Amino acid sequence: MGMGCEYFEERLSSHLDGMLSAREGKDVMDHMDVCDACEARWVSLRDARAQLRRLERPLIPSVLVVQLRVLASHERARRLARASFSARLRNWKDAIRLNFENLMRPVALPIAGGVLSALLLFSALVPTLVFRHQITNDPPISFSAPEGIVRYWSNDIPRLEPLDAVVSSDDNVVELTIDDEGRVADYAVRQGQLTPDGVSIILLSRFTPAMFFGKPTWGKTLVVLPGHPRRSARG
Amino acid sequence: MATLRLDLNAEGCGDGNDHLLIEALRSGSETAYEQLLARFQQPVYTLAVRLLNNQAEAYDVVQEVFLKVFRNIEYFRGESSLKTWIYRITVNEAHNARRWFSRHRGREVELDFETQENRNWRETLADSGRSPFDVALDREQAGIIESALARINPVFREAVVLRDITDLSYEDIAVVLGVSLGTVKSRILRGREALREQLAEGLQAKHPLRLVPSTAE
Ligand SMILES: [Zn+2]
Repeated sequence: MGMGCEYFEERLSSHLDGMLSAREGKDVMDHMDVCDACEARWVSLRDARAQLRRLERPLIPSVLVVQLRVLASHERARRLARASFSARLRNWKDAIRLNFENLMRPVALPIAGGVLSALLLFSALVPTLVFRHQITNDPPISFSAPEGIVRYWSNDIPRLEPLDAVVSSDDNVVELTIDDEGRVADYAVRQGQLTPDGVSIILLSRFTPAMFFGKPTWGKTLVVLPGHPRRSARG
Repeated sequence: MATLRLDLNAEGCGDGNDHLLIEALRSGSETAYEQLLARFQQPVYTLAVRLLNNQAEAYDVVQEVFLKVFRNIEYFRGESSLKTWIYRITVNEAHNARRWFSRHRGREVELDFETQENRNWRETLADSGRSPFDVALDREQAGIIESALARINPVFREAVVLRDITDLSYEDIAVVLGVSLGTVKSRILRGREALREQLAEGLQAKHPLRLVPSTAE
């Protein structure tokens, strides 16, 4: 025969899971009929397994469930923002021939009668997805009021407008804090609500930072997103 | 015989719709995100708790797992099922966490676990319709098996937990752990043997503290 207890010991566990062939299974059963040691081993293995299976599943804490939902919606917004961002990028390419070089280079800012003091051509459109919620060591310097307005029309071309430009009560207005690298460091909804477009701007846009004595510094800007489509603005 | 029971019910549920769910996730469908969580948050949590013996660590690991899942869903090639892919991420994250915690925290982990466990127990006690005595008996039994499980070699524990708690087939476990079917068999066998020994010892000495020598495979 040559099949000692060791042979069967190796197979008891697989037998519990029904992983042996019919033939092997029968050999195991036959052996247990004549070998008390293996049968005892079998019984205790089976019991250990049964206890393990009966073990109550630790219920997921409700705080964690909430946390996961938040995570999911954040990740989803990010995904959507990235999708609409690339769509917008294609749009822009069609609408205005933006020179790639220009996109990547810091934009020299026109200082026109103090109207648009700093800013805000959408530049360096790199989908880096860097969004720093927390403002770290660099404290914002000297600003309380936004420095300009970026208005999105329905054809997706952002426009710079003076601060006193007309903002309709239907529009959604988001105030952005731009750090010295041109990234959005913080935002606040000033009017209306945060639309998916707004989210995508916050997450993905790169601005030309405001300048302060020739050095990039923190600044604020208003982004206006029309509350309803304005076909008339096309062209 | 009842011992030949196969776990058919646990297999295959939802796997067929994997690619639909994955497509929907990629397109950012809200229901898809909800479905994924509804289907996996509890089993992933259970697995993490059993691998780490610690609910607080499991809490962090589960978030890490789903973050990875959401971010990497476009790289998921569908060569394995969504289920095995997610459990594989869970096992890896638990692995990393265990290494990190053993380096940074040491023994206080155990105490943390104890209090968490007790709290949970009190919660279940409140709304189960059974007598406190029965619950206490079950609870003691569960405590014995939990601590036995915690003391066996993590490599064997992984295999046993995936088999008997997560309810995966041997083939799925092989995919999750990235090892051969033969290795899965042997790890489950060794894990169960170790568990059996721990339980036997637990009956002799009420508070066994001895650690099992940790030689894998
Ligand atoms: Zn024998």
